[in-house]
Amino acid sequence: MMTRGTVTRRQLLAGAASVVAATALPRTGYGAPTGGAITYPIVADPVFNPWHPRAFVESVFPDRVLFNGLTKPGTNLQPAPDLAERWDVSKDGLTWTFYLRKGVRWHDGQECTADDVKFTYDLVLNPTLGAGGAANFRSVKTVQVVDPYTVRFVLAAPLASFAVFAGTNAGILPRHAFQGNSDPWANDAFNKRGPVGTGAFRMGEYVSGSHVTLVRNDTYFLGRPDADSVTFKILPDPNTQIAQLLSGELTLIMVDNPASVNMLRGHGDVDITTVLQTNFYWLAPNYSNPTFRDARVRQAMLYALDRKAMINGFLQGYAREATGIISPALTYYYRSDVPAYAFDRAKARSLLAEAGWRPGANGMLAKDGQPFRFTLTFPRVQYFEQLCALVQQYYRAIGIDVTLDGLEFNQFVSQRLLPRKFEVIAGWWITPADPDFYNYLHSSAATSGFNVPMYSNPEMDRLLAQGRAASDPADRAKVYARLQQLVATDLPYIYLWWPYEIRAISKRLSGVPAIGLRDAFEYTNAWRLR
Amino acid sequence: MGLYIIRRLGHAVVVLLVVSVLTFTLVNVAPGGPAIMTTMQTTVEQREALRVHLGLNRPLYQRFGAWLWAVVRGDFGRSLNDGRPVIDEIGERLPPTFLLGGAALVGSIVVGIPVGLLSATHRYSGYDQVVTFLSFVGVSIPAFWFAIMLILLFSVQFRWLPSSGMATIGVPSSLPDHARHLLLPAVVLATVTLPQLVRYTRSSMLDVLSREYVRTARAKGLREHRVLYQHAFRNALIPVVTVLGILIPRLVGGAVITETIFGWPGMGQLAVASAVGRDYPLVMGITVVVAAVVVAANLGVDLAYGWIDPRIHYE
Repeated sequence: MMTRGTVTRRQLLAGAASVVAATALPRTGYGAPTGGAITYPIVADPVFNPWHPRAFVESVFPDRVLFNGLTKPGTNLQPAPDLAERWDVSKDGLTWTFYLRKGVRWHDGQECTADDVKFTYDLVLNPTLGAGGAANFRSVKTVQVVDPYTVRFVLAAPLASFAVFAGTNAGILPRHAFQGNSDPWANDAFNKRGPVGTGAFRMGEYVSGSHVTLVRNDTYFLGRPDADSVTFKILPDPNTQIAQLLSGELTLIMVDNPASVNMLRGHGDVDITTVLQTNFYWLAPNYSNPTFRDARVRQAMLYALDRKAMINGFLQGYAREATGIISPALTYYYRSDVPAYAFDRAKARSLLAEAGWRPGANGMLAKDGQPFRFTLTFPRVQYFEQLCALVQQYYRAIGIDVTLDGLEFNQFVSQRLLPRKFEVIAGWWITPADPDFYNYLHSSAATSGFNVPMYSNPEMDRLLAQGRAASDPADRAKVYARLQQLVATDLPYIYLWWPYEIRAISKRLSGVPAIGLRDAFEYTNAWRLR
Repeated sequence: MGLYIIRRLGHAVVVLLVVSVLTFTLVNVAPGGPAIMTTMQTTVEQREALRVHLGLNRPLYQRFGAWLWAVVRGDFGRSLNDGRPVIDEIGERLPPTFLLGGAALVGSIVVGIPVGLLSATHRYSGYDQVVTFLSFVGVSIPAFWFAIMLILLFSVQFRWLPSSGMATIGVPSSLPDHARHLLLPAVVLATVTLPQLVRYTRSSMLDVLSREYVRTARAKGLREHRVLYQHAFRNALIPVVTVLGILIPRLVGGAVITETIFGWPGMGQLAVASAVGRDYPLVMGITVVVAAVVVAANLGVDLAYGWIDPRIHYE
């Protein structure tokens, strides 16, 4: 119902926008931002604390501008120095030492030191707090302050991706701002009103439901930023976001629905660029179900999908057919020499026949008198409704009977995904820019982590652990090459595609690096407005 | 009169209590959980930790009892997802909604009643037919579509009016600036009330005009002007005031869509966010406040009858 309404709105807006484009009046008057103010839309009130369990996508953007991590995602997607100017790891991979930049000041003037780093990670490691992102740091045992500018992490098991995790929504918090607070999530003087960070812009004004304005931090440790301010406007409606970009009230937006891109095309003052993401979309078959334990069945389920048609259809071409789970965006690790699953119904049928599934009188598959049927669970967000309706048709065409089970997102997560109550489930992962998929594939993460299909394979477990233990990138690449081979033959996830992030940016703005926009917000100090 | 008000206030307390019991039960039995513990990236351990942390592991009746006792003492608790006091969140969002709803309502009354009256006195004229047609268009038009069209026309195309927010960010606040921001959302929200008001005023006036006392007034030679505005109008107003009482809660509903599209920082936006995020204390706070506003509006309407029609007495 809601989705249908949205589509109609978009179509109407598309039509109206083309009328507007055709008449193209001179663009003057209301709405141009004054003096170097960058404006970006977010969908809800943010929380100014990257570890707050409530820090969702709307908080990611302001938090990346306000705070700095030990590292940050580099423009080559390798971890780059941030608060730490360098780091090293012991031979056994169990001790990581970070050397902090000297003289970094919090927005309130105090110095940022190793004590703040320890305070932050102690909070993350405290199991009673349930900090967001804590799953990445499960293998950390203790955090030690060596001296004011050196901090050491002692791990229970190697974690080669530590430097990447320490730069992904892992901003360091000021210890002094939390003193006397037993519950860091209820410290709303900090989390909701007056955050103190080390970032390029500091808190200016926040009007709940309207906007957050961050103003330039003149003493930023990488030098005085160029723009005067970065404003995050709270605009839940994607059509309003597009209208505001066109009217000049916003500087840049991320386009969620590829179908909206056409409205922006042909507008002289907006550039549309795409960046391949590390996110991937998937169907996860439940491994506790014997039907899906057979790798041939999973392979057939991938062969049966015409992913090219889906991408060209409702994704307007803005995605790349996945050949695994490690995205080609990670150029150093990605391997293309793995089995591919181009759309092939004959192959799908013969694999299923090998597995004992044969067509009955009605053309539907059956084995030992049992029909091949399952329920496909999906969240009613983005384009999952269209996606799953097509999947249902593709599977019907090879004799599999699929029932759709679409739920509101909150219900989807709490009733199906977390308790693992599904037969096949559709979803997507936004992962750090690293090939470490331990949390998503290891058998230990099957019931309580992100291993949604509950996949369990000793060979996979071994490779995942080896990948974490190999700290040298060349060694890691070797391990992950083997892992990609295994993923592509055993198909723990029925991977669909890696989407392209679509960014529409005003031509007045330059200096936005060609990496995902979330990561690009780590570089707002270098963004330049004309 | 005083006794009447006291009795009505007593009713109001009962209504609010029933509303809170119902809402509390419904939001808590609704599937899903607070957004803070319901993301794809929450592990079972994190979820359990947060459940205990937020006190959601206690039985429902205990939680309701604790909530009610706190509310009686003026404490609406803290938002589960934000950790902020509920009363602060609502306090920030209430004035913008009152401003928007008030502007839409006052605008509807100022425009709707005269337009409806003229429609009745010029029944079946070209003017009446245009007004009738426009009110049907107004009733049928989906608010979200109308809003987007206005934005495209006035913000994107002509760049006369801003498309979101309450004020231009980064410039000193001024009355003309606020008024410009208010115009589009208020016009959209007024489509909820204005057409109805026009229709009711028209039919109510027509009804009165066919009454005998109007004929008598005309028969005794009063000027038409006096007949219409002193004899008929005041009596025609009573059903219109009743309709206002019904329309005010609708404005609250209409604010949800309008505020979302125009990025207006009001209660409507907050209500959606709190329901989607299963923020139980915030949902409860908003429900109680909105219910109180509706009850107060109805009381106000009932009291207004007495002022319009001195024959009505309160006992």
